[in-house]
Amino acid sequence: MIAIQGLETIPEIGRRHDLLAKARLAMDARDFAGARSLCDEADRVASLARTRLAARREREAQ
Amino acid sequence: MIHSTDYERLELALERGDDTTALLRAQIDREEALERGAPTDEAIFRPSGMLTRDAFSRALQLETTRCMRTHDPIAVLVVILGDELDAQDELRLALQLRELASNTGDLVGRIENGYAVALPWIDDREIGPIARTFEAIIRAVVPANVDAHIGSVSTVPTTADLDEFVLPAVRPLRMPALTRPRAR
Repeated sequence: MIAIQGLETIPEIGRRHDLLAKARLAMDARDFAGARSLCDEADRVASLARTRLAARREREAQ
Repeated sequence: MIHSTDYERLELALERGDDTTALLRAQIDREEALERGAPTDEAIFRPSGMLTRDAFSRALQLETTRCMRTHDPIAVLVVILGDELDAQDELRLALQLRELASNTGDLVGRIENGYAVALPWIDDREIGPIARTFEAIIRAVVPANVDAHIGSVSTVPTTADLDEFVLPAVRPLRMPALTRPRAR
């Protein structure tokens, strides 16, 4: 995989990946409500990642 | 040595995650509908859970655009079959290929006369071992009487690939030689 400079500074990207993997496992276990709930959490974490990324970009631009 | 943050790729990783989430939600809806015996939307997924030809083509185009933006490679593995797989074999193939593609967005789908896996950000060095695993999966799942050709490519896409991604050239699948019992 391509190494992304600064990925470690946005841990939410990896966390979202883990949550989606868990959601997939929940779906395979027929726990559909649990799977959707994990997808919702993944969306919240992604939103946090975007906020952090924007703030970082702004700081770096100053 | 100080490197600056790679905003472009971080944003792409987030965009890709959005697509993966949307696809996963659609899959959850489909699985739940199947369990309830309700009709499912067959526009995105085949009965095996793989992407339909149209859905795969759209997803590949989207990924090609992303890889082009950052001049990154995208790998594609294909198998072309002389005959259709039955539902059970396609399901087995889908399960194994989705496992292979699970870290890069689950892009497994139907193409003309076969199936393909798209792996964004996989380069020349990485494609070899993945292609060998792909070959082993095909050998294990596709019945011996079905003619199979396989191929793989890793390329940094160009604008020409946006109209139609050039799929790799294929070669006949090598079947393992039968071993003779040793003479006593």
